[in-house]
Amino acid sequence: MKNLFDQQLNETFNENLESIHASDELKAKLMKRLSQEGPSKSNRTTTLTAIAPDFVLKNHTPKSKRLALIVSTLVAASLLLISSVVTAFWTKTNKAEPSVEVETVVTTLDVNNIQDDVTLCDSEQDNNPISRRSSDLSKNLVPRSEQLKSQANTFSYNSRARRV
Amino acid sequence: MSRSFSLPDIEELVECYSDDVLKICTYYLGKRSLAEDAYQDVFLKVLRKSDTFDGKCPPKYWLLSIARNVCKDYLKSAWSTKISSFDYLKEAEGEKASVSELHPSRITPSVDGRQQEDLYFDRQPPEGDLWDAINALPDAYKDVVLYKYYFDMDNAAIAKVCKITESSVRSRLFRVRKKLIKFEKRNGRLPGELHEKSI
Repeated sequence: MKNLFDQQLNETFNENLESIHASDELKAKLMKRLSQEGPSKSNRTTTLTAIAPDFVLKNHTPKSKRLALIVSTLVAASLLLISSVVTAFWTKTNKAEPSVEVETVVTTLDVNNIQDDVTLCDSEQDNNPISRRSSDLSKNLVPRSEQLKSQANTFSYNSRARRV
Repeated sequence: MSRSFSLPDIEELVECYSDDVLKICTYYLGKRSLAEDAYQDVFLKVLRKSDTFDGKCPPKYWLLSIARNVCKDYLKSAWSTKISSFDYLKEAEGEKASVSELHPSRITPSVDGRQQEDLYFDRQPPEGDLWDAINALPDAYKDVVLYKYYFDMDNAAIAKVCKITESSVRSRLFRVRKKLIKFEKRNGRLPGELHEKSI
């Protein structure tokens, strides 16, 4: 007798739910949505498991090989760094020597040579309109060679005076 | 051991269990349009959460469990809690009864399961049939009734799908049957002697 009510309940469910079927249109819509949206970003591994194991094995590098690759890359990078540092140091030391020579040249310059240089510069300036204007302004200034000459004259005069 | 489903596997699941999933969705949600939306969400969830399938139970049970959860999420969502069906309002106007009197389980979520159930059975209109009575049951009771009387599942399987103990399944089934028999007897559809023998 207990089954009578169970049977009644079962019939009620069947009456109301048996008529419900998913149409082909609905299934097609669902399949389209499934292929479009697919698995979420957090579960990308789900699709990866579907890839054939042969493909995974072929494209998988062993751990020792990966380690050797990393070490060799590091060694190459360090060698490059060392060589660049050495080159930079070498060029720096080579550049420092000529500057000393220049200094010595400057100290041994003759007064006459300076004068020649100044005259050369003046002649160059005359051709340039901008520099001509600046030379007009600096007409009142005494050239460096003249200054040196006068210094030399005063020195010789003073030395002569001391001798006298 | 976990097993993940790819798209072809899901296609197979769709072919096999499409109708069952749609039936569950219609049973819980009532509206066909809403059920169809939930049906699509169920299979999307299956595809996304396929790695959670442990393989201990048949895929059908796992699918039913997902469908049940998706439907409950739909019922809990803002749309379904804030917007009530226009049909319910029309019924309420016609019979000069409030919506909560007709469908207390849907409208008064703050009341716990047993209170909702009592409220429903005390105020159930006499012209309602057994299907209306089943639909108005609280969700916890609706689950066990559906799995027991439609899917013919045993108590252990129901316990797995609903994630409760077997003793809870037994007690829920006992209480639901008792209430439904009482309801049928009140409406004159169940003879008194059958009622006594049934429980």
